[in-house]
Amino acid sequence: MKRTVCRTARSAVSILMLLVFFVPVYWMLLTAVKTMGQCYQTPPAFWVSNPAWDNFTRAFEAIPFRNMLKNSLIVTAGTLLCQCVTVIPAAYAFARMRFRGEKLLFGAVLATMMIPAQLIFLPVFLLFSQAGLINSYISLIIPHGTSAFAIFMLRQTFRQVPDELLEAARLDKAGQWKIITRIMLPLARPTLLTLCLLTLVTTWSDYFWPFVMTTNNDVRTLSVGVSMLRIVDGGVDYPLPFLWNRWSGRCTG
Amino acid sequence: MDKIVLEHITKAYDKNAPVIEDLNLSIRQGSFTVLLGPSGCGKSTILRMIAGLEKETAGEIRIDGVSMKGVDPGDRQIAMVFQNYALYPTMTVRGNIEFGLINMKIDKAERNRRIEEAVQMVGLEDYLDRMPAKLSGGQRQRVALARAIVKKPSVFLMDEPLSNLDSKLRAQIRTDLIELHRKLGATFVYVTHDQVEAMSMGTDIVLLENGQIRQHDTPDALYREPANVFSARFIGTPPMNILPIRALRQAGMNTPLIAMHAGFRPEACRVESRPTAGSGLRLAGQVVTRENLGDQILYKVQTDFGMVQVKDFSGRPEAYGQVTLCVDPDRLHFFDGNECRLTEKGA
Repeated sequence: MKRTVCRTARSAVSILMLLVFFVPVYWMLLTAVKTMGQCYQTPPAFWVSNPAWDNFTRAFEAIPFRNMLKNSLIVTAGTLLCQCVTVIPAAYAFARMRFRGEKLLFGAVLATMMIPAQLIFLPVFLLFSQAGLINSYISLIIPHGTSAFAIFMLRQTFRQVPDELLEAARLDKAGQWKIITRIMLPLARPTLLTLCLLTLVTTWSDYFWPFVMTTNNDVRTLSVGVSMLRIVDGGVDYPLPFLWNRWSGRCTG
Repeated sequence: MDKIVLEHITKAYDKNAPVIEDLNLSIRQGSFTVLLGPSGCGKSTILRMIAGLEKETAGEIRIDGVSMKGVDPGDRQIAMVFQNYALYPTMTVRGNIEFGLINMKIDKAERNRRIEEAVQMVGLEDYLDRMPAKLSGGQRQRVALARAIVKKPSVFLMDEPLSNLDSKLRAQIRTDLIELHRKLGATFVYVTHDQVEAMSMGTDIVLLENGQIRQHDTPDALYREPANVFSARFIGTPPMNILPIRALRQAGMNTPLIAMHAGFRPEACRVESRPTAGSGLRLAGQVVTRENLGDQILYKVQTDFGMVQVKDFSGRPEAYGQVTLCVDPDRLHFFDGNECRLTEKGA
């Protein structure tokens, strides 16, 4: 008897939680195929019998979708690659090598985590504009080409690798490159995946930086495109931003 | 011929006092040399300097007569087995064994041939595709051995390779190592603090204390002719009994004039419940503990000159209480004021 009550209660809570998480997603998808009128309708409609598919056509036409998708892919992939190239050697050096000024340098790296992007975007912007790099992929990728947080995380992981393992590798005639690629990175895979995922999500959905560093649509990413949808018709075209939010990864759902 | 020579080696970590100072050591070609000593005596440091993992502060290390200054660990023709195995956890057994060979740029066919040979030698044929985490401690140590064997090094360095294994496995791998040494004919340098391992496997033992060589000899010589009190006490279970010389002089024995201590092995002594006549040293004492191990009985006897340990093979346990210890006078050792053994016998 008691068990049945318990089970029912648990199921009820589960169903409630499912609804809490599912309804916003459903609402987003539904709104995407609603007409403007249906959006403002009271009471709100939970079902539309004739979905307005042409919302999508309009969205594709309103902004240079293909180009922006390409830009998003390039910027995200570029940032990821750039971070791998800078973070892995830095983390390895901080974890495993003793050199003059090591502590100071590592402190400096950590200190950069305390500086918000909003504080330095202006000087960075000036720097890139003077170098004539505004509206280029470089201006979107290089400023995020490394990550103090990632260096710190990976260093901690590298430090946990026992010394004997590296000594064994040295006796096995492995150079630094082999030690990093064959021993360190395979051991750090969970950390590495986490860091890649974090970078991927932040870069893909970053709105602020691509917007600051561009003056035209040439290298703008999808996240900027979302905001442009709101402006195209001179008002706010609700159904479209809802959907676009999802695509550009900025939705909270 | 000397395979490895250490000349005037000094090692200090950072700016601390040196742990090893002006050490000279020659390791014979083809020997199974054991570096033996209590923890902190510098034996591992010596091994790591030979491997090139630790840089000597001063002095020179030569392997086959060639100075190892500036030679990378990977280029020294050596292989090392670590205490905690140090297997690459993300590689299979085969990957672990093969890693060094790939780095040595040995072609595939030769690699496979060597791997096969090595795993057969350590009995791991069926485990090539396992991950190290799926192996027992003994199997892991065998993988580490195979990883060393495939490289066909002229020197094997082993840093307490048995200390993470249980005693049964330890005894087994000990005999495996002796066999391996005989089969390969390479030079083995083995670090341990366990004198049983040293005595059972070594052809040469280097006994160290505080970064200094106290004795470098064969196991037999180390046991029968300990160079000093430290050697005498370190080798043998239980260790040699060391008594002040007055114990013998009071018993009216002839002793060398400069002798300060006398020592005898626990088995050089008998326990008797009744005083018997005869020559040699007689000591009266009280049995404190008695351990019957079947083939032998260990006694701890409190005498006027300190605790004496006796190993008795008579098979007749003596009762607790007053006993007389009869020490074989031919098996007495004498040590001078510097605790060095005197070759001249008294009696």
